[in-house]
Amino acid sequence: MKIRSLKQVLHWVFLVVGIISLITLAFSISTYLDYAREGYGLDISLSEAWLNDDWLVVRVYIENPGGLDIELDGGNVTLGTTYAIPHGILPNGLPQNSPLDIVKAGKNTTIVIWVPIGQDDLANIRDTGMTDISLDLRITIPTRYCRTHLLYQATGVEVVP
Amino acid sequence: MQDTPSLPGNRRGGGPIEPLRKGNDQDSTESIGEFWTKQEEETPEFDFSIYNSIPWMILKTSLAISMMTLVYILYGLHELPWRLFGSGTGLLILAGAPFFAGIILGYSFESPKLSLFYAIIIGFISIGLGFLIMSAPYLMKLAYYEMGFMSDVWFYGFFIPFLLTISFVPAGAMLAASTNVYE
Repeated sequence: MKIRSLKQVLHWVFLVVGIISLITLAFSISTYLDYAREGYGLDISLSEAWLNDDWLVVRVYIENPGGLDIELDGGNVTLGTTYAIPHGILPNGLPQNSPLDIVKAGKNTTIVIWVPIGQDDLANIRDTGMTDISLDLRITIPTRYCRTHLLYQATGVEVVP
Repeated sequence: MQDTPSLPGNRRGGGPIEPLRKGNDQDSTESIGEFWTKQEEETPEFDFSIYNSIPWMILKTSLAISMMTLVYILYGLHELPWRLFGSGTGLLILAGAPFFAGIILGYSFESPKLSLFYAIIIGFISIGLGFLIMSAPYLMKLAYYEMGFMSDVWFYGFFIPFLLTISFVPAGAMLAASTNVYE
């Protein structure tokens, strides 16, 4: 196709940019809705888990690629049974605060979650050395006036007794 | 004194105008005419109206809406890693997209008034769509929101896009409409 005029060039440039915009728009909408449904873009992975008497301690690594600060308020840990993450002074003498931590915009953080577990789960972990873990963390996004959940599941997690 | 041919209107100064193309005094005009005719024959007629046909109009309109909606929401949605908020480049894109869309929509009609009207209407549709997208998680109750959320949506989803639309879309549309007299 020969170029005949500036109008023609602009139309074809617009066509290309417009199609890129349409694809980006669809992807942005899908991402925005997924953020609100769960996690708000936080990427969570479990680094390690261990037992401290009858407490399960898990260290999780959280990445926040987005542009908003996100508070991790607390939540539940499910093994065989569901346990609420407590706030207050822990057996190691340090506090477990509320919120647990704030993941700054574009930053990463590591948090350690302590939770007391029941005898059944404790016995199971001591027998097998591993467990299935499901985390359900409540998160708050103060600048969006929004509260939602961050979910994480892992099977066969090795737990150091 | 040099003998110069008489010029119309008793103009003084300057010499005789040499024809740009070789030719003698008798056939210079005729040969230029032939040259133009030959050029026209070699250059196929370019019909710009193809870009204002129905399929192109649908394409242009939908892409203009998606382009403007995209930049409006990307400025408002600070949570996305590819947001436009907070950078000079982002501001340029924010102003450039409605201007560009205005230019393309402005080419669509011979009448500048119609171009302007059409471009602004498309701009307003983009604002509406952007507003709807930004408030979608609230309307769909995907998470728990406090009322401050909708205040933000009104500011970033309506107020700023409205200012951009009434400024840059007409500017682009009228720039394009002003060139519609030239092919």
